[in-house]
Amino acid sequence: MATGPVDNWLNIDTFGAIYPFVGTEVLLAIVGYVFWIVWHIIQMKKEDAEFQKDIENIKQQGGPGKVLEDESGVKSRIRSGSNRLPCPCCIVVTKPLRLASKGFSIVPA
Amino acid sequence: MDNELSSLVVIFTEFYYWVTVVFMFLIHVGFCMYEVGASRYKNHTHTLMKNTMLIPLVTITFFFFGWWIYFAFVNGPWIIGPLVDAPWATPWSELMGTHMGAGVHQDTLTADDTAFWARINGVFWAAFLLFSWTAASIVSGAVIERIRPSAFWILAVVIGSFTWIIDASWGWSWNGWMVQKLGYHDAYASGVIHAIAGGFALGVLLVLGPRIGKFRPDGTPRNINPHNPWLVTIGLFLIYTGFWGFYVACNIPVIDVYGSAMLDVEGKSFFSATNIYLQPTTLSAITFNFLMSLSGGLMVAYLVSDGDPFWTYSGGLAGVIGASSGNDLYHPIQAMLIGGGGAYLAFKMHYWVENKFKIDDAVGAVAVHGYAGFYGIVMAGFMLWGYPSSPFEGYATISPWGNFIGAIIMFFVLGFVPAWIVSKILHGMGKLRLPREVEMVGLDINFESQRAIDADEVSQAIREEARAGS
Repeated sequence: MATGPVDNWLNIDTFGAIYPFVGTEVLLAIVGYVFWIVWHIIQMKKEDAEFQKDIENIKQQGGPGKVLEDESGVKSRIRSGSNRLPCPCCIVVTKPLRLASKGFSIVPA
Repeated sequence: MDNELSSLVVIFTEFYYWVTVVFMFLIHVGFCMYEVGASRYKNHTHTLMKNTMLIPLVTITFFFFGWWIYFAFVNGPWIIGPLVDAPWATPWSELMGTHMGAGVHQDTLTADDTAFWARINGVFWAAFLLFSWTAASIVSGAVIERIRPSAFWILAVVIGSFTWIIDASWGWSWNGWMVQKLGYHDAYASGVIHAIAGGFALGVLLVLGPRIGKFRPDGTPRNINPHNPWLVTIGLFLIYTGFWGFYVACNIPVIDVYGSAMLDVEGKSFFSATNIYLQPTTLSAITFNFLMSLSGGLMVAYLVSDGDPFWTYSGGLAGVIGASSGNDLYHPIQAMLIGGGGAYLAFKMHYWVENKFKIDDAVGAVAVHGYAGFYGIVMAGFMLWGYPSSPFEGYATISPWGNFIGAIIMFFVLGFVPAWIVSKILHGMGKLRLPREVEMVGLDINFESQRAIDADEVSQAIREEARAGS
């Protein structure tokens, strides 16, 4: 069994293509094109689902205005030093955190 | 590969392009840092992924068809001639894989050509590919925080593997029809990368619209400042660094100018680096001019922006871009002055267009790349007026009108128009822009929520451990 045209390196000056399965290039190209197109299709579907989930979450919270109001409130508390946030990066997602189905909030009670 | 000297030239050329590719990778690192620094925290992850994933998508499509287009479209096709055969560049070519160069590959290549492409194909392909990433990445910055990643990736493939490589085939190859008929000269890609990418970004932006909150009810713009200006500036420094690789990749390192196939001056040899048009130049020349045009851009941008770091750094880029078309031939002081003009124009045009047409170009990409690139091509047409555009006979000489028409082709015909059409189609399908609610709250809502939940779970576990131990 040999997948490629090389069985020794003694005649290297006579070698052309040396990858496995020489002769399957057209098939490989077709597989490559299909992989590319299918990737886009799957990614778009996943993206649609992600945004749908985001939109539902935001609606449950009373809409983007309410989420942003809450976010703004948290920022004010941080500025005034009355908050013990573990990580400033979580500020923008304060409200969505609560709706992340676990009843969790990064704002200490 | 049986002669030491010729083998050395081929293997040095192979290594030379490989090094440029590594340098140019830094351009993309810089663009990613720049975009993340410029975007607001709620969009970081998606902004980063949007730019990162153009790498594989443009790479595979450039393998599938971009590389072939470069060689096949030099005549238009059907502007001055038919499609050109390029058997080494099709995705099913044996020369697009590991190949030792022996034998004659297909009927259209000689044994020497086969041996040459077996060595050079991959690195030459990659050097062009990194330009493709750059073109797409320029567009990426302009559209942050409101474009759907899926839409951007389609647009990235359009510019990265299709339109820019058509312009390279037409105006950035030794036998492109624009070089032959217009005398188009754009040695370091003011137009073929920057003007086209700027025009493309403008075409997308017109359809995409501004970020929510960018403009006041009376139409005047608000500043959406970079959340991390230091990340932005480090990103721009990295782009400068990668630009060295970009410039060097625009050259062919060693060639006998007299002996090149079509010139064939009998009995004489002149070994030199050349630009892509096979006109002799030196690395010294472009090093002088790169640094002087960068300096001119930085100095003018600092003054005109009152020391604003974002615009000072961007002005450095605009300086290089503004002089790049002719940086193989300019005197360094000319490069400095022309670079300064590019930075001034980019800054002024950005705010004029923003105010007049309500275009929200988040990082000034249209200005720095598009307007400065357009200006760079036009300036080269005047400055290099009458120079031969090629060492080969019968080509038009460089002229203001040839380069002006070239600038129009780069910015509008191959940049703006395809972008506007594809964006309109995506917009019509409801696939161009983020849902309004998501844009307002931020793209990373789920990602950051999950991160916070994970962190809370871990700290809860630690607290329980601590209580149990005390």
